[in-house]
Amino acid sequence: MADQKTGSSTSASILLSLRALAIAVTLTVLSMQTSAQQEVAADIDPSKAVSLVKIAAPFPQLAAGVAAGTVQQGFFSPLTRDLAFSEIFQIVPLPPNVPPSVEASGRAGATAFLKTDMSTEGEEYIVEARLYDVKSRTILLGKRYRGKVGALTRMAHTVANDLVRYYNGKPGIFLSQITFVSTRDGQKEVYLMDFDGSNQRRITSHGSISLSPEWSPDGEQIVYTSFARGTSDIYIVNRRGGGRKRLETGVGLNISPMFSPDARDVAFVGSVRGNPDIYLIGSNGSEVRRLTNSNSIETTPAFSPNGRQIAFTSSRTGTPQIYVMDAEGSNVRRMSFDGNWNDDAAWSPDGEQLAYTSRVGGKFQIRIMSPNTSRTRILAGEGSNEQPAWAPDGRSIVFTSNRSGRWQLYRISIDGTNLYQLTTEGQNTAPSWSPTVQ
Amino acid sequence: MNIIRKPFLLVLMVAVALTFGCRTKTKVTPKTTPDNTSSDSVGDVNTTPDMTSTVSDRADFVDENDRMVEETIPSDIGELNKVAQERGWIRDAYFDYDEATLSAEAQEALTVSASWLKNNPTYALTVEGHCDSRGTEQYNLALGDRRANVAKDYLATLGVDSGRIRTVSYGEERPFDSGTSDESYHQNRRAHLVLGR
Repeated sequence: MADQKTGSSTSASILLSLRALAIAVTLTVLSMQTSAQQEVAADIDPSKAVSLVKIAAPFPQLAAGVAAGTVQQGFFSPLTRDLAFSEIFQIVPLPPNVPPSVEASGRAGATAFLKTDMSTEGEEYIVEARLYDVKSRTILLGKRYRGKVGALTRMAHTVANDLVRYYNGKPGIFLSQITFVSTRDGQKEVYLMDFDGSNQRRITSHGSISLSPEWSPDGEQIVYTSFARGTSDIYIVNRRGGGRKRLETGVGLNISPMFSPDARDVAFVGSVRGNPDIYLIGSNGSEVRRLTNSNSIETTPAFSPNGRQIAFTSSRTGTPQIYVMDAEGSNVRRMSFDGNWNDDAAWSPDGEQLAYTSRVGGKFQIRIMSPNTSRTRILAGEGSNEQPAWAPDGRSIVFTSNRSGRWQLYRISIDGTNLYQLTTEGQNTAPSWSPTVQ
Repeated sequence: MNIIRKPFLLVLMVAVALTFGCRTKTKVTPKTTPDNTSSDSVGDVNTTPDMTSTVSDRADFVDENDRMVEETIPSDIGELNKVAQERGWIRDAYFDYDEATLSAEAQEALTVSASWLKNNPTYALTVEGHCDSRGTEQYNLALGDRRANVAKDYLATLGVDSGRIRTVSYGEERPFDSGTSDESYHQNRRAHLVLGR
């Protein structure tokens, strides 16, 4: 973790260059090969690979009295990490001892120049960021942010989000967060961290087993299961840990809760007399409805992003497999046919793909399926790899793996590159990635 | 109320333990007092009479039906659970891999447990469903729920009031054995019976 947090812009740009090269090579190779490999290639948009924006983003110009160390740690490091992670930018280092400028950026081979100026006013830091087009020397984007020292990293992520939005029209994920379960303080509790693994903090203190946190669509609440009362119950809590309430479902088990995309309902697994089925309850605690009615085990529901379908796991054919039904419970069809244990289905944000946990040769791996074609591929890795959750931009997945001997969370691009370990303390499981929040 | 009831309960439970012949590790103290079978028999005429026991030991000779086993019923519920499991008054049901049906052995274990529970109606029971760690977390929670309820239903068919029994599934969250051997996995696939107040 220490190395990852102090990564410099230079190493980041080398990493990106290598990555671009790898993609270029991959594409060349794939274009000469057969359709089996093109399944993988389909996830790499060639236009993205060739359109990395070469950007010069030097250290901010500091007004008198602004501490460079504070700016480096709080602002500049997160900003360069974000740009490197974006898969949109290639950071071009400027030569030392040359004042950063549009001209210097052009000479270094950059097509864009991000000029940042940092000053202070009382306790507040003021950041002015301007994005220049090197060729035309025009300002493409100008923003001013102010806030106390604790807001510096948020400012950096906001600058990065604005840059991403400028270039590809979609909001960046740099202010998104991941909720997960960790044993680092003893019992399993619910935690949050920023998308890059920084700022990890606990938001529950049940002193009991807490499981499977999932975000509300607006990113303000988290729904999860806890054994705080000795039985498993569904709780909803604000993302800062307050305002906790318990949903009275009137049935047993109460696991795998997940908000519907319109936030009105929570899908969950309830059980009456040992028969786990998929249920809905209003997120205000009203009206419990049963969606499946089978004697087998039904578990792990997942709303599709448009709310019209629910993926779930069922043992109705003898082994746990992934199924999809319409949101009212009708039109059930089996999706997974590989292997004898599949669970944890998660829809990609565009609803085009399902990631799930799939047993392969005695271990679990993350499998990604396109429901339209039923074709699947495996994001192979060491150890067992489980519980995939999509980034809000659909470009990467966070999952838990025991490859290190303990359960830790990792992020990986869905083309299988850019593996990055996010946690180190305790056992860490059940990640869920927030929607994009600004 | 409780103060009055407890001694009665204790006696009741000892009686139950005896009546149902539950497996018990408590040793019966062997009789070590002098054997006075000689009083009506021939031989041993040279033995010096033991004057202190001649009269009082007649009762032993006449009636051996008052032998007793004395066991302490712990009042602490945690200790009671430990003792009840150790002595086999309460027995867990074990399951096969990814199964929630009761084997003959599991049924036998629950039959023994049901006997004790019916004779000790003041205790509540929690049946915990547990799974080995080889599956996925969410599915195993559902599977554990099924195991706990199968055991509960069986106890009910044997006459235990189902209103006394509550179930909870821990899935693979609270393994009894953290190992990865077949025996460890076996230990973790069970409906675990826990007495409560």
